[in-house]
Amino acid sequence: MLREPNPSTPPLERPNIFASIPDVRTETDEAEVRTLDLVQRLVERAREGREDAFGDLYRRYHAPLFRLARAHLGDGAEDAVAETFLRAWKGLPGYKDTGAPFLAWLYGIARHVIADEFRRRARVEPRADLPDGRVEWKVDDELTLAAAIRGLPDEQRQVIELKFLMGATNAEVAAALGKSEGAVNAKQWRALGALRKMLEEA
Amino acid sequence: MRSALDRDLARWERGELSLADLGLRHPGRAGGMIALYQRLTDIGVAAVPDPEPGWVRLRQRLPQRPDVVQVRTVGPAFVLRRLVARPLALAAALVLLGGAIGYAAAPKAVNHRLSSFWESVENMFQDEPRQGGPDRTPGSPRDDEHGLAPSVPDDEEGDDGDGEEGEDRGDGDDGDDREDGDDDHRDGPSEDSGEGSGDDVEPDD
Repeated sequence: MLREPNPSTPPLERPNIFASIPDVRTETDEAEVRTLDLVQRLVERAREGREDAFGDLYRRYHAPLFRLARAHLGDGAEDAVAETFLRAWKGLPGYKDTGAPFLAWLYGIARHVIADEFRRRARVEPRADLPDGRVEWKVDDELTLAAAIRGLPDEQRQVIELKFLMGATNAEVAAALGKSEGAVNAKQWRALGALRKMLEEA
Repeated sequence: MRSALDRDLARWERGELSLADLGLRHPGRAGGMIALYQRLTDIGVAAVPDPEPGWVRLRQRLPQRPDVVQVRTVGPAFVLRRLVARPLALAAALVLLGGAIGYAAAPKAVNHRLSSFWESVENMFQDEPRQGGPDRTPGSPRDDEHGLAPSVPDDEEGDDGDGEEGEDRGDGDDGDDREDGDDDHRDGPSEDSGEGSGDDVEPDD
């Protein structure tokens, strides 16, 4: 059943990735700026080796990373999230704030973790022992969809993953990719058209 | 170029176009896109486990990291050391190396001259008893006047009319007779050519 987007609220009712700290709300632009400042402070403290600050970052970004990992990997999403944050912790001293959201940096790490996991699975589970992939995919629509997403051109894939799987806003996706919101929106619909075609052919 | 469908889908996403209107404008095309859109949206809002247990486990795995790297303050002394001391040391090393090579490569005559020069310089600063002989005392008025210690006692000074310094030194310094004599031999023809040559020429005449 198709649903109308609610015109009184933002078109998508997404999980607020900044909502894990109770004293910070993102209802206004001003509050959003404060939230970004808070994230920057947390990142700075985490760079200094403060585990408590890194824990706040973990709680804040666990959900979007978990959804991304679960969409692609199914089982093992929690391990992928842990590995992503472990690499983030090690890589934080070299992190440079380029103006892109911190989520985009984590997303870049998560993509590598997911790719590594696919490679590991390919080594550990020989293809002959796998069940029929097509049947498996029909059982699990989400993995079918994720496989189609991985078949998209890179920028379209990033738009879909950041916006839908990780809950980033158009502005955040635009900042992460260094593009305008209009360009991001156009890529989004082009990607959805390509996905629909792939799923119909599958 | 964005198609009319893309534009209308964006309007629908912003709430500017109803689903019914979208369906009327793009019959048979918009439905599949909206269905996919909502499927992806559902994935993005699906429930996730509590992050706390995962954080507790992860925290134990975090490797220790040193505190913030301290940036060393660069002061004037550091700059001076970098800009002056190293080039100076290098220049000094080059000069010494060049001097050593030059000395080794120079003809013997030049080396002899250098040796005698350094010896005369050395003599200027040598202790008084060695220079002036056993009956002279350090700090005598004559020493102060000339800066060079005389090599013969005062009573012999008048007898030696030519006042040849090399010969006097040989007389005064008992221990270094042979060495001084050699030096005199080397120095004689070049330094005191007028007096020395006269003495040398006499036998031939």
